Amino acid sequence: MRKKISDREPFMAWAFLLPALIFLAAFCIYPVAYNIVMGFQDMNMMNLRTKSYSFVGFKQYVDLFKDPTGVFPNSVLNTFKYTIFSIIFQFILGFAFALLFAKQFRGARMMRALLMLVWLLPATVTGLLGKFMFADNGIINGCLRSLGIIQNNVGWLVERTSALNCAILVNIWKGIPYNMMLLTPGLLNIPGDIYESAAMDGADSWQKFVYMTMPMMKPTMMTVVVLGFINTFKVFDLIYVLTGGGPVQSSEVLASVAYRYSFTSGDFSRGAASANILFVILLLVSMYYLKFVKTDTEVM
Amino acid sequence: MNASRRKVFWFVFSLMLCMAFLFPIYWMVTASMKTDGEIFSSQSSLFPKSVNLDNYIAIFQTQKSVGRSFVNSIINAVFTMMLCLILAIPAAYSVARFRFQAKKAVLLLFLVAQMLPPTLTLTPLFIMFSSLKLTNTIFSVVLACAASSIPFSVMIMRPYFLAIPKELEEAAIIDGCSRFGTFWRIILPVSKSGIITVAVFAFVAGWNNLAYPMTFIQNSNAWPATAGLYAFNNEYGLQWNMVMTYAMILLFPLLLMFIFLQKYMVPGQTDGAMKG
Repeated sequence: MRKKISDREPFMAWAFLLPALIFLAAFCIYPVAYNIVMGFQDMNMMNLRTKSYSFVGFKQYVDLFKDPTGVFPNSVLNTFKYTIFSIIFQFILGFAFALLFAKQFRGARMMRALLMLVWLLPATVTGLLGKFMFADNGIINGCLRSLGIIQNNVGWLVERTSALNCAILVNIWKGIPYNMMLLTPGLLNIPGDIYESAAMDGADSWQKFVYMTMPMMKPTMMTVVVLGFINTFKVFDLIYVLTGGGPVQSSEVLASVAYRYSFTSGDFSRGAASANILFVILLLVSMYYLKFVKTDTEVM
Repeated sequence: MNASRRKVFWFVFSLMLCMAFLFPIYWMVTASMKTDGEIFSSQSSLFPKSVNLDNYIAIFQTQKSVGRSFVNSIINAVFTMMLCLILAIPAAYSVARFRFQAKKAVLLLFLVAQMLPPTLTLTPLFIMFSSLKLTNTIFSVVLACAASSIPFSVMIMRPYFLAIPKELEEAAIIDGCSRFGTFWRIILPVSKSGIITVAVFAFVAGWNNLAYPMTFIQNSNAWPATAGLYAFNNEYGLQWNMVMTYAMILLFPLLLMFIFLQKYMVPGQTDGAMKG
Protein backbone atom coordinates (compact mmCIF):
# COMPACT_ATOMS: atom_id res chain seq x y z
CA MET A 1 0.00 0.00 0.00
CA ARG A 2 1.49 3.29 -1.07
CA LYS A 3 0.28 6.52 0.44
CA LYS A 4 0.43 9.53 -1.87
CA ILE A 5 0.89 12.85 -0.18
CA SER A 6 -1.36 15.59 -1.32
CA ASP A 7 -0.09 18.92 -2.60
CA ARG A 8 -3.50 20.42 -1.93
CA GLU A 9 -3.22 21.24 1.72
CA PRO A 10 -4.32 24.84 1.95
CA PHE A 11 -3.71 25.01 5.67
CA MET A 12 -0.11 23.87 5.36
CA ALA A 13 0.51 26.05 2.31
CA TRP A 14 -0.60 29.16 4.17
CA ALA A 15 1.18 28.17 7.36
CA PHE A 16 4.49 28.25 5.47
CA LEU A 17 3.60 31.36 3.53
CA LEU A 18 1.89 33.65 6.02
CA PRO A 19 4.83 34.83 8.14
CA ALA A 20 6.55 36.23 5.05
CA LEU A 21 3.33 37.72 3.70
CA ILE A 22 2.49 39.44 6.98
CA PHE A 23 5.99 40.88 7.16
CA LEU A 24 5.82 42.11 3.57
CA ALA A 25 2.34 43.52 4.12
CA ALA A 26 3.70 45.67 6.94
CA PHE A 27 7.05 46.75 5.52
CA CYS A 28 6.55 46.59 1.77
CA ILE A 29 2.94 46.56 0.57
CA TYR A 30 1.64 49.08 3.09
CA PRO A 31 4.51 51.53 2.47
CA VAL A 32 3.99 51.28 -1.30
CA ALA A 33 0.27 52.04 -0.88
CA TYR A 34 1.13 54.83 1.55
CA ASN A 35 3.53 56.30 -0.98
CA ILE A 36 0.92 56.26 -3.74
CA VAL A 37 -1.57 58.04 -1.47
CA MET A 38 1.08 60.56 -0.38
CA GLY A 39 1.63 61.50 -4.00
CA PHE A 40 -1.88 62.94 -4.06
CA GLN A 41 -1.45 64.92 -0.83
CA ASP A 42 0.58 67.91 0.24
CA MET A 43 2.37 66.31 3.17
CA ASN A 44 5.66 67.76 4.34
CA MET A 45 7.92 67.63 7.37
CA MET A 46 5.99 70.53 8.96
CA ASN A 47 2.36 69.52 8.58
CA LEU A 48 3.00 65.81 9.25
CA ARG A 49 2.99 66.29 13.01
CA THR A 50 -0.14 68.41 13.11
CA LYS A 51 -1.79 66.17 10.52
CA SER A 52 -2.89 69.29 8.66
CA TYR A 53 -2.18 67.94 5.19
CA SER A 54 -4.90 67.29 2.67
CA PHE A 55 -5.59 65.78 -0.72
CA VAL A 56 -4.58 67.95 -3.66
CA GLY A 57 -5.22 65.62 -6.59
CA PHE A 58 -2.54 65.63 -9.26
CA LYS A 59 -1.00 68.90 -8.11
CA GLN A 60 2.34 67.32 -7.13
CA TYR A 61 2.73 65.70 -10.53
CA VAL A 62 1.84 68.88 -12.37
CA ASP A 63 4.26 70.87 -10.22
CA LEU A 64 7.05 68.38 -10.83
CA PHE A 65 6.91 69.12 -14.52
CA LYS A 66 6.10 72.84 -14.18
CA ASP A 67 8.98 73.57 -11.81
CA PRO A 68 10.90 76.44 -13.50
CA THR A 69 14.30 74.92 -12.63
CA GLY A 70 13.38 71.89 -14.74
CA VAL A 71 15.13 69.56 -12.30
CA PHE A 72 12.55 66.84 -12.54
CA PRO A 73 12.13 66.48 -16.32
CA ASN A 74 15.91 66.63 -16.53
CA SER A 75 16.26 63.82 -13.98
CA VAL A 76 13.85 61.66 -16.02
CA LEU A 77 15.97 62.27 -19.08
CA ASN A 78 19.15 61.54 -17.13
CA THR A 79 17.75 58.30 -15.77
CA PHE A 80 16.93 57.07 -19.27
CA LYS A 81 20.28 58.20 -20.60
CA TYR A 82 22.13 56.57 -17.71
CA THR A 83 20.19 53.34 -18.09
CA ILE A 84 20.29 53.01 -21.85
CA PHE A 85 23.98 53.79 -22.27
CA SER A 86 24.90 51.62 -19.30
CA ILE A 87 22.92 48.69 -20.63
CA ILE A 88 24.18 48.92 -24.21
CA PHE A 89 27.85 48.96 -23.24
CA GLN A 90 27.58 46.60 -20.28
CA PHE A 91 25.81 44.11 -22.42
CA ILE A 92 28.01 44.27 -25.51
CA LEU A 93 31.24 44.28 -23.53
CA GLY A 94 29.92 41.69 -21.08
CA PHE A 95 29.03 39.48 -24.03
CA ALA A 96 32.48 39.98 -25.54
CA PHE A 97 34.08 39.06 -22.22
CA ALA A 98 31.86 35.99 -21.93
CA LEU A 99 32.85 34.87 -25.43
CA LEU A 100 36.52 35.46 -24.70
CA PHE A 101 36.55 33.50 -21.45
CA ALA A 102 34.47 30.71 -22.95
CA LYS A 103 37.54 29.86 -25.05
CA GLN A 104 39.16 27.17 -23.06
CA PHE A 105 42.64 28.52 -22.52
CA ARG A 106 44.64 28.09 -19.36
CA GLY A 107 43.48 30.29 -16.51
CA ALA A 108 40.22 31.36 -18.17
CA ARG A 109 38.06 30.32 -15.23
CA MET A 110 40.40 31.88 -12.73
CA MET A 111 40.42 35.18 -14.60
CA ARG A 112 36.65 35.15 -14.93
CA ALA A 113 36.33 34.70 -11.18
CA LEU A 114 38.78 37.54 -10.52
CA LEU A 115 36.81 39.91 -12.75
CA MET A 116 33.81 39.33 -10.50
CA LEU A 117 35.65 41.30 -7.81
CA VAL A 118 34.47 44.43 -9.60
CA TRP A 119 30.88 43.36 -9.24
CA LEU A 120 31.47 42.55 -5.58
CA LEU A 121 32.29 46.15 -4.61
CA PRO A 122 29.43 47.86 -2.77
CA ALA A 123 28.10 50.85 -4.73
CA THR A 124 29.36 53.16 -1.98
CA VAL A 125 32.90 51.91 -2.55
CA THR A 126 32.58 52.00 -6.35
CA GLY A 127 31.33 55.57 -6.12
CA LEU A 128 34.19 56.69 -3.91
CA LEU A 129 36.73 54.87 -6.03
CA GLY A 130 35.38 56.71 -9.07
CA LYS A 131 35.57 59.98 -7.16
CA PHE A 132 39.17 59.21 -6.24
CA MET A 133 40.19 58.41 -9.81
CA PHE A 134 38.29 61.29 -11.44
CA ALA A 135 39.53 63.80 -8.83
CA ASP A 136 41.38 66.90 -9.90
CA ASN A 137 44.78 65.44 -9.03
CA GLY A 138 43.54 61.89 -9.65
CA ILE A 139 45.06 59.22 -11.83
CA ILE A 140 42.81 59.85 -14.83
CA ASN A 141 43.87 63.46 -15.16
CA GLY A 142 47.44 62.36 -14.49
CA CYS A 143 47.41 59.77 -17.26
CA LEU A 144 45.70 61.99 -19.81
CA ARG A 145 48.14 64.80 -19.06
CA SER A 146 51.22 62.66 -19.42
CA LEU A 147 49.84 61.26 -22.67
CA GLY A 148 49.41 64.83 -23.87
CA ILE A 149 45.68 64.44 -24.46
CA ILE A 150 44.83 67.28 -22.09
CA GLN A 151 46.92 70.25 -21.02
CA ASN A 152 45.16 71.14 -17.78
CA ASN A 153 43.30 69.01 -15.30
CA VAL A 154 39.66 68.47 -16.15
CA GLY A 155 37.07 68.67 -13.37
CA TRP A 156 35.31 65.52 -14.54
CA LEU A 157 32.78 65.38 -11.74
CA VAL A 158 32.27 69.11 -11.31
CA GLU A 159 31.51 69.98 -14.93
CA ARG A 160 27.89 69.88 -15.98
CA THR A 161 28.79 68.29 -19.28
CA SER A 162 30.77 65.37 -17.92
CA ALA A 163 29.44 64.39 -14.48
CA LEU A 164 26.66 62.09 -15.68
CA ASN A 165 28.90 60.56 -18.33
CA CYS A 166 31.45 59.70 -15.65
CA ALA A 167 28.72 57.99 -13.64
CA ILE A 168 27.73 56.02 -16.73
CA LEU A 169 31.32 55.01 -17.32
CA VAL A 170 31.75 53.82 -13.73
CA ASN A 171 28.51 51.89 -13.92
CA ILE A 172 29.51 50.22 -17.19
CA TRP A 173 32.73 49.07 -15.56
CA LYS A 174 30.77 47.70 -12.60
CA GLY A 175 28.23 45.93 -14.81
CA ILE A 176 30.47 44.19 -17.34
CA PRO A 177 31.46 41.23 -15.13
CA TYR A 178 27.87 40.78 -14.01
CA ASN A 179 26.62 40.62 -17.60
CA MET A 180 29.48 38.30 -18.46
CA MET A 181 28.54 35.95 -15.64
CA LEU A 182 24.87 35.87 -16.57
CA LEU A 183 25.67 35.14 -20.22
CA THR A 184 28.37 32.54 -19.63
CA PRO A 185 26.19 29.53 -18.67
CA GLY A 186 24.11 30.00 -21.82
CA LEU A 187 27.24 30.06 -23.97
CA LEU A 188 28.71 26.99 -22.34
CA ASN A 189 25.46 25.12 -22.87
CA ILE A 190 25.60 25.43 -26.64
CA PRO A 191 26.76 22.01 -27.84
CA GLY A 192 30.19 22.22 -29.49
CA ASP A 193 29.43 19.79 -32.30
CA ILE A 194 27.03 22.16 -34.04
CA TYR A 195 29.94 24.56 -34.48
CA GLU A 196 32.06 21.77 -35.88
CA SER A 197 29.49 20.81 -38.47
CA ALA A 198 29.05 24.48 -39.37
CA ALA A 199 32.81 24.81 -39.78
CA MET A 200 32.80 21.83 -42.11
CA ASP A 201 30.14 23.55 -44.18
CA GLY A 202 32.54 26.48 -44.45
CA ALA A 203 31.03 28.95 -42.00
CA ASP A 204 33.48 31.55 -40.68
CA SER A 205 33.54 32.74 -37.07
CA TRP A 206 31.33 35.74 -37.73
CA GLN A 207 28.70 33.63 -39.50
CA LYS A 208 28.78 31.12 -36.67
CA PHE A 209 28.25 33.92 -34.22
CA VAL A 210 25.38 35.59 -36.07
CA TYR A 211 23.53 32.49 -37.24
CA MET A 212 24.17 30.11 -34.38
CA THR A 213 25.32 31.73 -31.15
CA MET A 214 22.95 34.69 -31.25
CA PRO A 215 19.70 32.80 -31.92
CA MET A 216 20.52 30.20 -29.26
CA MET A 217 21.32 32.90 -26.73
CA LYS A 218 18.24 34.97 -27.46
CA PRO A 219 16.16 34.05 -24.38
CA THR A 220 19.10 34.57 -22.03
CA MET A 221 19.99 37.84 -23.71
CA MET A 222 16.48 39.14 -23.35
CA THR A 223 16.41 38.30 -19.63
CA VAL A 224 19.78 39.93 -19.01
CA VAL A 225 18.84 43.13 -20.81
CA VAL A 226 15.43 43.59 -19.20
CA LEU A 227 16.63 42.76 -15.69
CA GLY A 228 19.60 45.02 -16.29
CA PHE A 229 17.22 47.80 -17.24
CA ILE A 230 15.16 47.35 -14.08
CA ASN A 231 18.21 47.28 -11.83
CA THR A 232 19.93 50.21 -13.51
CA PHE A 233 16.87 52.41 -13.72
CA LYS A 234 16.48 52.56 -9.95
CA VAL A 235 20.08 53.66 -9.34
CA PHE A 236 20.60 55.70 -6.21
CA ASP A 237 23.78 54.91 -4.25
CA LEU A 238 26.26 55.22 -7.08
CA ILE A 239 24.99 58.60 -8.28
CA TYR A 240 24.53 59.88 -4.75
CA VAL A 241 28.08 59.01 -3.74
CA LEU A 242 29.86 59.82 -7.01
CA THR A 243 28.31 63.13 -8.05
CA GLY A 244 25.65 63.81 -5.43
CA GLY A 245 23.38 64.65 -8.38
CA GLY A 246 25.53 67.67 -9.12
CA PRO A 247 26.94 69.93 -10.27
CA VAL A 248 23.81 72.10 -10.18
CA GLN A 249 21.63 68.99 -10.31
CA SER A 250 22.92 68.13 -13.76
CA SER A 251 23.39 64.43 -12.94
CA GLU A 252 20.30 63.99 -10.81
CA VAL A 253 18.32 60.78 -11.49
CA LEU A 254 14.77 59.85 -10.46
CA ALA A 255 15.72 58.05 -7.27
CA SER A 256 18.10 60.75 -6.09
CA VAL A 257 15.69 63.55 -6.90
CA ALA A 258 12.94 61.78 -4.95
CA TYR A 259 15.30 61.45 -2.01
CA ARG A 260 16.24 65.10 -2.20
CA TYR A 261 12.63 66.32 -2.30
CA SER A 262 11.71 64.18 0.71
CA PHE A 263 14.74 64.53 2.92
CA THR A 264 16.57 67.69 1.90
CA SER A 265 13.54 69.87 1.26
CA GLY A 266 11.28 67.92 3.64
CA ASP A 267 8.61 67.85 0.96
CA PHE A 268 7.40 64.28 1.48
CA SER A 269 4.57 64.35 -1.04
CA ARG A 270 6.78 65.77 -3.78
CA GLY A 271 9.35 63.05 -3.12
CA ALA A 272 6.61 60.42 -3.07
CA ALA A 273 5.27 61.64 -6.42
CA SER A 274 8.74 61.40 -8.00
CA ALA A 275 9.21 57.89 -6.63
CA ASN A 276 5.79 56.91 -7.94
CA ILE A 277 6.76 57.91 -11.46
CA LEU A 278 9.88 55.77 -11.12
CA PHE A 279 7.66 52.93 -9.92
CA VAL A 280 5.21 53.20 -12.81
CA ILE A 281 7.98 53.09 -15.40
CA LEU A 282 9.54 50.03 -13.75
CA LEU A 283 6.14 48.39 -13.48
CA LEU A 284 5.51 48.81 -17.20
CA VAL A 285 8.89 47.30 -18.05
CA SER A 286 8.29 44.42 -15.63
CA MET A 287 4.88 43.70 -17.12
CA TYR A 288 6.42 43.55 -20.55
CA TYR A 289 9.10 41.23 -19.19
CA LEU A 290 6.59 38.96 -17.46
CA LYS A 291 4.58 38.71 -20.65
CA PHE A 292 7.73 37.81 -22.49
CA VAL A 293 8.88 35.06 -20.12
CA LYS A 294 5.36 33.71 -19.96
CA THR A 295 5.26 33.09 -23.67
CA ASP A 296 8.84 31.92 -23.66
CA THR A 297 8.78 29.43 -20.83
CA GLU A 298 6.19 28.16 -18.46
CA VAL A 299 6.27 30.69 -15.63
CA MET A 300 3.91 29.67 -12.94
CA MET B 1 48.37 29.90 -36.10
CA ASN B 2 48.00 26.42 -34.73
CA ALA B 3 45.68 25.62 -31.87
CA SER B 4 48.20 25.74 -29.03
CA ARG B 5 49.74 29.01 -30.20
CA ARG B 6 46.26 30.47 -30.47
CA LYS B 7 45.61 29.47 -26.87
CA VAL B 8 48.80 31.18 -25.77
CA PHE B 9 47.72 34.30 -27.63
CA TRP B 10 44.29 34.32 -25.95
CA PHE B 11 45.93 33.73 -22.58
CA VAL B 12 48.25 36.70 -22.92
CA PHE B 13 45.51 38.91 -24.35
CA SER B 14 43.08 38.03 -21.54
CA LEU B 15 45.69 38.49 -18.88
CA MET B 16 46.40 42.01 -20.07
CA LEU B 17 42.71 42.75 -20.32
CA CYS B 18 42.16 41.54 -16.75
CA MET B 19 45.01 43.66 -15.47
CA ALA B 20 43.60 46.77 -17.13
CA PHE B 21 40.08 46.01 -15.98
CA LEU B 22 41.08 45.35 -12.39
CA PHE B 23 43.42 48.33 -12.23
CA PRO B 24 40.98 50.52 -10.23
CA ILE B 25 40.89 47.87 -7.52
CA TYR B 26 44.68 47.71 -7.48
CA TRP B 27 44.70 51.49 -7.23
CA MET B 28 42.38 51.35 -4.23
CA VAL B 29 44.44 48.70 -2.46
CA THR B 30 47.72 50.55 -2.98
CA ALA B 31 46.16 53.88 -2.01
CA SER B 32 45.27 52.36 1.34
CA MET B 33 48.98 51.67 1.89
CA LYS B 34 50.27 55.10 0.94
CA THR B 35 51.30 57.81 3.39
CA ASP B 36 49.80 61.30 3.37
CA GLY B 37 52.91 62.53 1.56
CA GLU B 38 52.59 59.92 -1.18
CA ILE B 39 48.89 60.51 -1.73
CA PHE B 40 49.18 64.30 -1.88
CA SER B 41 52.21 64.41 -4.18
CA SER B 42 51.29 65.54 -7.67
CA GLN B 43 53.11 62.62 -9.25
CA SER B 44 51.27 59.64 -7.75
CA SER B 45 53.40 56.53 -8.00
CA LEU B 46 52.17 53.25 -9.39
CA PHE B 47 53.59 51.34 -6.44
CA PRO B 48 53.38 52.29 -2.76
CA LYS B 49 56.74 52.86 -1.07
CA SER B 50 56.10 49.95 1.24
CA VAL B 51 53.46 47.29 1.66
CA ASN B 52 52.07 47.86 5.12
CA LEU B 53 48.93 48.09 7.19
CA ASP B 54 49.81 51.31 9.00
CA ASN B 55 46.74 53.16 7.78
CA TYR B 56 44.51 50.33 8.92
CA ILE B 57 45.92 50.49 12.42
CA ALA B 58 45.81 54.28 12.43
CA ILE B 59 42.20 54.54 11.32
CA PHE B 60 40.99 52.19 14.05
CA GLN B 61 43.00 54.09 16.65
CA THR B 62 42.11 57.62 15.72
CA GLN B 63 38.57 57.14 14.42
CA LYS B 64 36.52 55.36 17.04
CA SER B 65 33.57 55.54 14.66
CA VAL B 66 35.18 53.09 12.20
CA GLY B 67 35.17 50.13 14.55
CA ARG B 68 31.71 51.01 15.79
CA SER B 69 30.31 51.29 12.28
CA PHE B 70 31.82 47.93 11.41
CA VAL B 71 30.02 46.31 14.36
CA ASN B 72 26.77 48.03 13.35
CA SER B 73 27.19 46.71 9.82
CA ILE B 74 27.63 43.19 11.12
CA ILE B 75 24.52 43.49 13.29
CA ASN B 76 22.58 44.83 10.32
CA ALA B 77 23.77 42.21 7.85
CA VAL B 78 23.37 39.27 10.23
CA PHE B 79 19.87 40.23 11.34
CA THR B 80 18.79 40.99 7.77
CA MET B 81 20.08 37.57 6.78
CA MET B 82 18.31 35.79 9.64
CA LEU B 83 14.98 37.51 9.01
CA CYS B 84 15.28 36.68 5.35
CA LEU B 85 16.05 33.03 5.98
CA ILE B 86 13.31 32.58 8.57
CA LEU B 87 10.63 34.19 6.42
CA ALA B 88 11.64 33.59 2.81
CA ILE B 89 12.59 29.92 2.95
CA PRO B 90 9.27 28.56 4.26
CA ALA B 91 7.48 30.89 1.84
CA ALA B 92 9.53 29.55 -1.06
CA TYR B 93 8.70 26.01 0.04
CA SER B 94 5.03 26.88 0.07
CA VAL B 95 4.99 28.28 -3.47
CA ALA B 96 7.14 25.41 -4.71
CA ARG B 97 5.30 22.47 -3.17
CA PHE B 98 1.66 23.30 -2.72
CA ARG B 99 -1.17 24.09 -5.03
CA PHE B 100 -3.63 26.60 -3.66
CA GLN B 101 -6.04 29.18 -4.95
CA ALA B 102 -4.14 32.41 -4.61
CA LYS B 103 -0.81 30.95 -5.67
CA LYS B 104 -0.60 32.82 -8.95
CA ALA B 105 -1.34 36.10 -7.22
CA VAL B 106 1.25 35.38 -4.53
CA LEU B 107 3.93 34.58 -7.11
CA LEU B 108 3.09 37.73 -9.01
CA LEU B 109 3.40 39.68 -5.77
CA PHE B 110 6.92 38.34 -5.16
CA LEU B 111 7.90 38.98 -8.78
CA VAL B 112 6.73 42.59 -8.70
CA ALA B 113 8.06 43.21 -5.19
CA GLN B 114 11.59 42.12 -6.14
CA MET B 115 11.85 44.89 -8.69
CA LEU B 116 10.61 47.70 -6.42
CA PRO B 117 13.07 50.55 -6.08
CA PRO B 118 14.06 51.15 -2.42
CA THR B 119 13.28 54.83 -2.98
CA LEU B 120 9.61 53.97 -3.31
CA THR B 121 9.24 52.91 0.30
CA LEU B 122 11.87 55.22 1.75
CA THR B 123 9.58 58.08 2.78
CA PRO B 124 6.68 55.98 4.13
CA LEU B 125 9.09 53.77 6.07
CA PHE B 126 10.77 56.84 7.52
CA ILE B 127 7.39 58.12 8.73
CA MET B 128 6.41 54.69 10.05
CA PHE B 129 9.68 54.17 11.88
CA SER B 130 9.53 57.68 13.34
CA SER B 131 6.17 56.97 14.91
CA LEU B 132 7.38 53.55 16.11
CA LYS B 133 10.46 55.27 17.66
CA LEU B 134 12.69 53.00 15.58
CA THR B 135 14.63 55.69 13.77
CA ASN B 136 18.21 56.08 14.96
CA THR B 137 18.42 52.37 15.65
CA ILE B 138 19.99 49.85 13.34
CA PHE B 139 16.81 47.77 13.53
CA SER B 140 14.94 50.20 11.31
CA VAL B 141 17.56 49.41 8.66
CA VAL B 142 17.27 45.68 9.32
CA LEU B 143 13.49 45.71 8.79
CA ALA B 144 13.77 47.74 5.60
CA CYS B 145 16.59 45.65 4.16
CA ALA B 146 14.78 42.42 4.97
CA ALA B 147 11.58 43.68 3.36
CA SER B 148 13.40 44.53 0.16
CA SER B 149 15.37 41.24 0.10
CA ILE B 150 12.66 38.71 0.94
CA PRO B 151 10.85 38.68 -2.43
CA PHE B 152 14.03 38.00 -4.38
CA SER B 153 15.13 35.41 -1.80
CA VAL B 154 11.86 33.54 -2.33
CA MET B 155 12.45 33.53 -6.08
CA ILE B 156 16.04 32.30 -5.63
CA MET B 157 14.98 29.54 -3.28
CA ARG B 158 11.94 28.23 -5.15
CA PRO B 159 13.80 26.38 -7.93
CA TYR B 160 15.87 24.49 -5.36
CA PHE B 161 12.69 23.16 -3.76
CA LEU B 162 11.12 22.42 -7.14
CA ALA B 163 14.11 20.23 -7.95
CA ILE B 164 13.64 17.94 -4.95
CA PRO B 165 11.77 14.76 -5.93
CA LYS B 166 8.43 14.36 -4.21
CA GLU B 167 9.17 10.73 -3.36
CA LEU B 168 11.62 11.95 -0.75
CA GLU B 169 8.85 13.65 1.21
CA GLU B 170 6.41 10.83 0.67
CA ALA B 171 8.85 8.38 2.19
CA ALA B 172 9.29 10.59 5.26
CA ILE B 173 5.56 11.03 5.72
CA ILE B 174 4.95 7.31 5.49
CA ASP B 175 7.56 6.86 8.20
CA GLY B 176 5.39 9.06 10.40
CA CYS B 177 7.03 12.42 9.95
CA SER B 178 4.76 15.48 10.11
CA ARG B 179 4.74 18.10 7.35
CA PHE B 180 6.86 20.46 9.43
CA GLY B 181 9.09 17.61 10.51
CA THR B 182 9.63 16.66 6.88
CA PHE B 183 10.44 20.23 5.98
CA TRP B 184 12.89 20.58 8.84
CA ARG B 185 14.60 17.20 8.73
CA ILE B 186 14.41 16.18 5.08
CA ILE B 187 13.90 19.20 2.85
CA LEU B 188 16.18 21.76 4.48
CA PRO B 189 19.26 19.51 4.69
CA VAL B 190 19.11 18.66 0.99
CA SER B 191 18.61 22.33 0.03
CA LYS B 192 21.77 23.50 1.75
CA SER B 193 23.30 25.16 -1.28
CA GLY B 194 20.12 27.15 -1.95
CA ILE B 195 19.98 28.26 1.66
CA ILE B 196 23.59 29.40 1.56
CA THR B 197 22.90 31.33 -1.66
CA VAL B 198 19.98 33.14 -0.03
CA ALA B 199 22.03 33.78 3.11
CA VAL B 200 24.88 35.29 1.09
CA PHE B 201 22.49 37.41 -0.95
CA ALA B 202 20.68 38.75 2.13
CA PHE B 203 23.89 39.38 4.05
CA VAL B 204 25.34 41.33 1.14
CA ALA B 205 22.09 43.26 0.62
CA GLY B 206 22.15 44.36 4.25
CA TRP B 207 25.88 45.01 4.28
CA ASN B 208 25.88 47.18 1.12
CA ASN B 209 22.81 49.29 1.76
CA LEU B 210 23.39 53.01 2.04
CA ALA B 211 20.01 54.67 1.42
CA TYR B 212 18.20 53.23 4.44
CA PRO B 213 20.74 54.03 7.17
CA MET B 214 21.40 57.44 5.68
CA THR B 215 17.68 58.23 5.89
CA PHE B 216 16.64 56.54 9.11
CA ILE B 217 19.68 57.24 11.26
CA GLN B 218 20.85 60.71 12.23
CA ASN B 219 22.92 59.57 15.19
CA SER B 220 26.36 58.69 13.82
CA ASN B 221 26.92 56.16 16.61
CA ALA B 222 24.30 53.89 15.04
CA TRP B 223 25.61 54.15 11.47
CA PRO B 224 26.75 51.06 9.60
CA ALA B 225 30.01 51.26 7.68
CA THR B 226 28.43 52.36 4.38
CA ALA B 227 26.95 55.49 5.96
CA GLY B 228 30.09 55.94 8.07
CA LEU B 229 32.30 55.77 4.99
CA TYR B 230 30.11 58.24 3.12
CA ALA B 231 30.24 60.72 5.99
CA PHE B 232 33.98 60.13 6.45
CA ASN B 233 34.56 61.03 2.82
CA ASN B 234 32.60 64.23 3.24
CA GLU B 235 34.75 65.18 6.19
CA TYR B 236 38.20 63.96 5.14
CA GLY B 237 37.61 63.95 1.39
CA LEU B 238 41.14 64.80 0.37
CA GLN B 239 42.79 62.15 2.51
CA TRP B 240 42.22 59.52 -0.10
CA ASN B 241 44.59 57.05 1.57
CA MET B 242 42.35 57.02 4.66
CA VAL B 243 39.13 56.99 2.65
CA MET B 244 40.38 53.99 0.66
CA THR B 245 41.49 52.29 3.88
CA TYR B 246 37.97 52.65 5.23
CA ALA B 247 36.60 51.39 1.91
CA MET B 248 38.84 48.33 2.14
CA ILE B 249 37.57 47.65 5.66
CA LEU B 250 34.02 47.80 4.33
CA LEU B 251 35.03 45.40 1.59
CA PHE B 252 36.82 42.93 3.84
CA PRO B 253 33.91 40.64 4.88
CA LEU B 254 32.72 40.51 1.27
CA LEU B 255 36.19 39.43 0.18
CA LEU B 256 36.22 36.68 2.77
CA MET B 257 32.85 35.45 1.55
CA PHE B 258 34.01 35.69 -2.04
CA ILE B 259 36.98 33.47 -1.28
CA PHE B 260 35.20 30.87 0.81
CA LEU B 261 31.75 30.88 -0.77
CA GLN B 262 32.81 31.45 -4.39
CA LYS B 263 30.20 29.25 -5.96
CA TYR B 264 27.35 30.82 -4.03
CA MET B 265 28.30 34.32 -5.03
CA VAL B 266 28.09 34.08 -8.79
CA PRO B 267 24.87 35.48 -10.20
CA GLY B 268 24.47 32.61 -12.66
CA GLN B 269 23.30 30.61 -9.66
CA THR B 270 20.18 32.69 -9.40
CA ASP B 271 19.29 32.32 -13.06
CA GLY B 272 16.24 30.24 -12.35
CA ALA B 273 14.98 32.80 -9.88
CA MET B 274 14.55 35.37 -12.60
CA LYS B 275 12.14 33.22 -14.50
CA GLY B 276 10.00 32.66 -11.43
